[in-house]
Amino acid sequence: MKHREHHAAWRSGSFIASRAVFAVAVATIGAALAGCNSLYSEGASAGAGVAGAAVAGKVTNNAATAAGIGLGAVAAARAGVQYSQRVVHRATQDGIAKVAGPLDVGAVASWNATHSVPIEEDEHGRVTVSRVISQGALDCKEIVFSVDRPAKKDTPASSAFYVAAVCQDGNVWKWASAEPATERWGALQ
Amino acid sequence: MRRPNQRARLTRLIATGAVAIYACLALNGCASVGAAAGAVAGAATGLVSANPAVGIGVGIAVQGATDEAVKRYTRSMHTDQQDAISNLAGQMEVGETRPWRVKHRIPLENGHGEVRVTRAFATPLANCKEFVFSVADGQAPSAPRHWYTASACQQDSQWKWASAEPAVERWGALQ
Repeated sequence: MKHREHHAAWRSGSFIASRAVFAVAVATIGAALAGCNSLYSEGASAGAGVAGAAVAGKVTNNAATAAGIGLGAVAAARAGVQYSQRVVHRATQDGIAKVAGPLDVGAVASWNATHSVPIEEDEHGRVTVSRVISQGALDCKEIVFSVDRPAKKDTPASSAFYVAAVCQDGNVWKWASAEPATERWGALQ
Repeated sequence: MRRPNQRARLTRLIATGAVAIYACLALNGCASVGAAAGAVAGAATGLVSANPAVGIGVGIAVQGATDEAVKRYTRSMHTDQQDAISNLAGQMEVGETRPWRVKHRIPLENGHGEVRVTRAFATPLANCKEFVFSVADGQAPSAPRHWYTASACQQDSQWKWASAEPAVERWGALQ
């Protein structure tokens, strides 16, 4: 009897483990696709959660405790995904700021962001300085940049334009646009 | 005997979930729909599979999918607001003030206030404008107004919101 219970527990454990493997596989495929942020984050988080709950289920028989550990793993995975997304996005911002920093008002240069980890799409465009915000002790410039999308089979080429600020931080130019007012952030986060 | 009983509980749970989601959607700025859907799905799956870990896993997956759907929906509603304000600003002269209003069929991301163009600048890439806009906190004429600044640039025939994302270092707990 005891043996059968053990066997059943082992079987459900392996079932959960195979689900976890499947979820991680989904997450990996998600990461392999360019611009699949949501699939990447949900796949990785859910995979970690199920795996976490499965591991906890072996340690404790208390379902609530197991669930708690699972949710903790989800939170940790989500934080990890957000961290990797930030690293990649910071590279794009730094790339544009580096090109824009030395430009004079009205001068145009092109920028290019190629990521080694394809969480975000590779992007390119042009950038120009629209005005000097401050000069001297604190060098800051307002920039207008475009994100150019080449023509595809069903969509013509398009350019989207954005305004941002860059400031010189030591020898490097860094993105300086502050976050939106939290009242305006609302459901966007 | 247990099975019909379980099914009745399951139906009741799903019905409760549906009501909760509907009630939530009817309110402004609801971000907890995903959590509610996740909890309902988790509980329902837990009942069927009798394995809490699988229930939690499915619950989390459903919450993730619902969160994504809710986010996409509220973003599209918010884009309407940005398009309305930036298109208005695009047609205006520097110093001019006009009222703006967005009204959706579902009362999400509605709003009204004023737009005032403060600066227009042409660059080799695009024509852009800087403006301040207010969001009235309520329908009464005396409702408090909150003011914000933003930019819009001309994109083909229309004007689009152009304020770029904050520096990654400033995302912090916002994402």
